[in-house]
Amino acid sequence: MANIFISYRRDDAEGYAGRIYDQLSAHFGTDKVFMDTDTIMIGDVFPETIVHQLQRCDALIAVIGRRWLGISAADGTKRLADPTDWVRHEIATALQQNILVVPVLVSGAQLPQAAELPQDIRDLTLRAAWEIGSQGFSQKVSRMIVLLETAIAAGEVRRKQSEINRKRAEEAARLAAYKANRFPLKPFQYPLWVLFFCGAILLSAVMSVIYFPRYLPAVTALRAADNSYRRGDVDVAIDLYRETLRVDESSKNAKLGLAKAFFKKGPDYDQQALATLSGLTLYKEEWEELLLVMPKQYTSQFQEVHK
Amino acid sequence: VSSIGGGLASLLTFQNRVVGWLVWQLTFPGRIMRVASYRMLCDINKVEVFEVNYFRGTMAHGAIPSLGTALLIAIAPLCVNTLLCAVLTFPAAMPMAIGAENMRPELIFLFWLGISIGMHAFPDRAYSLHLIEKGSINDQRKILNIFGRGLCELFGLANFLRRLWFDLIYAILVSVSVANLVVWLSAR
Repeated sequence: MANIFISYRRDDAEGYAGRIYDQLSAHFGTDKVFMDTDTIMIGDVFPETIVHQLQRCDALIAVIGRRWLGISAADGTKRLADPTDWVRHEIATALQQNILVVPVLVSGAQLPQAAELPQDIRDLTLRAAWEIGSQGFSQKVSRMIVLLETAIAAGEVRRKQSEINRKRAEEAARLAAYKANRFPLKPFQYPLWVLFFCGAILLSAVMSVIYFPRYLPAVTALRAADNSYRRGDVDVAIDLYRETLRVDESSKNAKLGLAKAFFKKGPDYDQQALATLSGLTLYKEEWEELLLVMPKQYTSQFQEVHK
Repeated sequence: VSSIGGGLASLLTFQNRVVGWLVWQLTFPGRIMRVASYRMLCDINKVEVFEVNYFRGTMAHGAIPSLGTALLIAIAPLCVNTLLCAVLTFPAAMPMAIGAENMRPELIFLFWLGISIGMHAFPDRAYSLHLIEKGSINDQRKILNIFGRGLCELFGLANFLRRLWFDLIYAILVSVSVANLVVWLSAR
């Protein structure tokens, strides 16, 4: 989509319009600048393309030469007086859209008086005109580029805003259609069963908090016992494993740890170790760990339950 | 080979679907909690709610005033369900940590409840994205928009990884890490 539209009359200022187009498209890119001879593709419908580009551009440059006002049709009437004249239509549309319109006066042309122009393009005379001649052409167009960049940025903002407005309108329409058959639920009024359910969850959470201090000493004692055992502090480890078992006598980790500690302490404690292990089912890794400290003669007292 | 592979794949898919359906049914407290947290956040933020299905996990709501509100609603289940998962599984994680062989039934119940809720902590990507898009109609803050969309992609990844039981892994991780953290803090 082009952001800059160059409006001109072929019989009046085609050469200047072409030079302006070249410089602008070198800066902005060819897709951002529209000029009818260069940008209309073969097969395009001429007026439709122009209308389409006009509706989407952010700035219009009206190139005005010395013959711009006076060029007449075959019947002698001024072209500008004809409401179907494309140059008039282009400028009128741009003024109506309230985008940046820059009259560029070339070959020593003067900006026409308001009275000389048809009603729909009279506002053109209120716009600041740029005089461009052969001398200093590039510099003047470069200055114009700064102005156009601002217009393009403003156009982007305008387009974004109109897109947002469109989305909002769509959403509002969708919601209105949806609301036509339904009423919103009353806030904070939930079905009874949901309230019960949330209450039960809250109660469970409270129950969790109540249960939590019960097991915490057992876990910390077990960890401390494992650390003591690793350090070789067997007596402390035995006490701590027993502390864990006082909280939960079904703790397998504490039983296994206690048995290993007894075996490590010496042969006098082997029977206590075996009694601790009584009824326990060990995994392979646990068994291998136990074998590191348990004398070989006791292995026959264990039964392999699963291969 | 390909037909055998295909057959096996379809069998596995079927098996996965059956297991998935069973897990979906068994973890209904998580689904209800997720929708309840959405609904509560909508009410708090004065977002109109038209329809709620707690069991299917769907909700129809009105316009969302801002991206901040959309983000709050989108992450509500993640916060609420994760917190509840941590609290509810906590007492059961303790006896597990000491290898208790006789678990009390109430602890098993709490563990199931906590894991069910934790498994539904990650919001649906499509719904979260819908919330962000609705919020961005009235709120143009780019950073929030990018953050929200990034969050949705994260939810999308979590949704995708559900096939590999990420939801269950997440719930267990929450349970174990919070229990470990408390034990570590209390041991200091």
